[in-house]
Amino acid sequence: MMNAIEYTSVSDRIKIYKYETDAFKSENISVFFCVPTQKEKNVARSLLLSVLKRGTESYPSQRQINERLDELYATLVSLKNQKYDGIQLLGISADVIKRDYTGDEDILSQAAKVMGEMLFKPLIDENTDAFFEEYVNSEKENYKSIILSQMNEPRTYAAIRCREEMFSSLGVVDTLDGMCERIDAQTPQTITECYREILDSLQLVVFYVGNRSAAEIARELEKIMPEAKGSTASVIGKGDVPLLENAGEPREVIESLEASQGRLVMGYNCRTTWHDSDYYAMLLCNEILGASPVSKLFMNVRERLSLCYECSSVYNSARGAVFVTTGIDSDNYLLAREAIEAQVADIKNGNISDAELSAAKKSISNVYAAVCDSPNAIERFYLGRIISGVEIDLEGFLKKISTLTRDDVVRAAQRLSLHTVYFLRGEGEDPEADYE
Amino acid sequence: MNNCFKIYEDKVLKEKYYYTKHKSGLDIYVFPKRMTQKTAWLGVKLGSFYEDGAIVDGKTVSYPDGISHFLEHKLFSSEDGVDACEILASLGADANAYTSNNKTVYMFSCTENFEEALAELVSFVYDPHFTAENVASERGIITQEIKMCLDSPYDTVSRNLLTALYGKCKLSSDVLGDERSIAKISEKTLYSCYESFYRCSNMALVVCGDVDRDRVLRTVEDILKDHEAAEPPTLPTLSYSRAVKKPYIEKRMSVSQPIFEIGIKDAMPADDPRERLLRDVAMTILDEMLFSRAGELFGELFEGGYINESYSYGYSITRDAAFHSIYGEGDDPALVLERVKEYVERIKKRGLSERDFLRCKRVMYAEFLRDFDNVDDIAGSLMNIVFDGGELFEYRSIIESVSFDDVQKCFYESFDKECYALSVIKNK
Repeated sequence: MMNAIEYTSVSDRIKIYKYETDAFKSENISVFFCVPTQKEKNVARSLLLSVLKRGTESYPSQRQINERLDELYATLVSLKNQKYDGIQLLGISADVIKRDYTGDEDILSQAAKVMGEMLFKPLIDENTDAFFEEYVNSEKENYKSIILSQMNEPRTYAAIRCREEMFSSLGVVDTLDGMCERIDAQTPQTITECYREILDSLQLVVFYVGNRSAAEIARELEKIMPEAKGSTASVIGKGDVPLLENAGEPREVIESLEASQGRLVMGYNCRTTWHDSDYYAMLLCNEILGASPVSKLFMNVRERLSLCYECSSVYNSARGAVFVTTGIDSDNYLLAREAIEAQVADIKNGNISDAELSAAKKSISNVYAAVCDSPNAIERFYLGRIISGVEIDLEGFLKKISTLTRDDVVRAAQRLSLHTVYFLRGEGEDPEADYE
Repeated sequence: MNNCFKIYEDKVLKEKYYYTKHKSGLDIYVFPKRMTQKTAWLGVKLGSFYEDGAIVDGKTVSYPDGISHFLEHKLFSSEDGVDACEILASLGADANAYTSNNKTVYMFSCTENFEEALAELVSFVYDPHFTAENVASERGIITQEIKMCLDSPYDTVSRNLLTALYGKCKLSSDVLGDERSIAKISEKTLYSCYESFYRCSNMALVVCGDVDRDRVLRTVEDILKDHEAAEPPTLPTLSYSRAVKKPYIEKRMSVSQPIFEIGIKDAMPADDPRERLLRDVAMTILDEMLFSRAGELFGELFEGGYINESYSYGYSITRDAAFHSIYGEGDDPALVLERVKEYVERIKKRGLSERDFLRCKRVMYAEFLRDFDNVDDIAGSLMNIVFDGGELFEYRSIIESVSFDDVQKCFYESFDKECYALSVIKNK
């Protein structure tokens, strides 16, 4: 069903997925290590990825790597760490300017060489036969500061806290403090071990967006790939993501922070992932509820009641949950909560006008039809679906959305069950306080 | 009808666009691009910088801080109660708008019904409907927007940096205004401000995507046929002295570690748009040479543990103000500032490297090129450049022609010791 994607298996170790296009001035290649997810290895693997960008045999410092990439017409390299249904993809993506714009210089093959160095020839300390301690320690500090800085903005912090509280019983979401402890426990040895284990049973997944042939991409990869030693058993995901049971009564968690605004996040459990037949209906339901400036939340909680500037909902299809978030005067907590619950009830009761239904369908179609306008969006749309075995291409996706009915939306809405209400009360901040 | 469009073409980028001035005074730009998405941006030269002191029909006008942004919110309302967003959504178009210090822009993107959506965009922007009631209700919404920004240390660090650089004046005032200033905004002030600035001669329409330019022009003509070209407002000129107002500004908020932004004030921008473009290109290359992740300074600060991965830098220049900025997070911002100053002095003595210059020039070209892969990026760049009096492809040719000497000259006349300011957010 995925006509848009050309699949080539180069050997039992390399799978190449290609999306043919000449719409862009650059071409995009991502090379991933493909491994089964293992919760206890999450932190080591994330750290590994960031250590790989610190130095290689030919470019021993991050500065030298960056300098080389800049020479290659500012090749944009990004680290990617994604999980789909029990499979983890860990890798590097490069956005490379095409030769039509470089005076006929071929950048891809030179950029692939740098990527190959980063993935397969990282800098190793000969004395310890492990990654350099200095790099590992500095990446540990970086990682912790990124984790902790999520507390800086009340709106981000409230979203994280709601998710933590909601999923605590499943043990799948790390708390901020727990993450920091796990980071501290890592050493150059643990990370090197994690790296060698990946190399031993090496499986690569490659996603390419551009107009070269798959054979040419395969040749570039063979140039940078090392000999693998271990077995070649293919990576199979564990499949099922544990879903949260509905709560009898919603849990309410209230905390406070010195801030001029209160932040309310309402976690609805819906137990609907993208494997579920109601996935498309849930997407549409979320769109009608709070994903656009004509959604029920926006038109009512913001426009009609003037309670907030921002009131929106996000559907997390990996966990099977919908989160509603808003920023309000703290005194309006109950009013806002009631107004949000009323919008959800409205959809459950089928109070959806033709205009709302049609606008929401068009809005989703608009966003997804535009996927083919961006190499990143193309990869985001297809790769996860390929890995999870959700066999649908864009055309099929758009068709599914267009045939949905009001009844489908109502059925999906029935699955929304309020699980956790998190309120971060803003206290005592004088907005006009001087900052001398 | 073709003949009325002027063509701009760039052989290196392999792109072109068309320009015409409608008889109403509206500048129209059409940038054909074969992509699924189509977008239209309608912009007006009204932003926080211009709210006080513009001359309109011979009279100086003054409005409360935040009125540009308030207008942006309120223009979506209509007399029959159906929001412009709803009409656009029914056509499958995703509407949005933003206000900055020098402009307000209304836009939509869609994959179908482009002309109908364009007609709606032009209609609603030229058909205001303000009442005491709808203004009061919008005030509640904007108040929450202001509070959300006040609670963000990232917004606060940048806002404070402008205060440190320029003092409390229009150059540092918040686009949103504050609770006191927006309390002064009524339907009357909104109408007055609207009449002063929302004149076709003070506006531009930019369209990008797989569209037909003649049909764009016809759609605009249908709606604006009765609009006569009116005198555009004379925008106020803001001026500032070279030295910063305050070298250090600090606020305490809940942050996991200090965040900071260093500002380095540049001389007042030149009156001539081409000169500003040249300075923009030269300074952007210079900043890339001095501050990029491939540079000596970042290496020292990062490897030394003074900053983490959250790091950015850049040069900003508009008709009214110009400065460099460096954003970072780390335990000792004052020490970082000292290191930056020492580094700049060191390079001034040692001289810039021509090899770095060539590399950074290539980086700038590549980054500029990448903008042409996205209809919104194209529309945004085009709007910025034409509002500043420049031309998009001229920017590309300046990147090609800028010399090492141009960059050196900029370096030695910039970065004076009294031009640095540091804004810090520390934990409570």
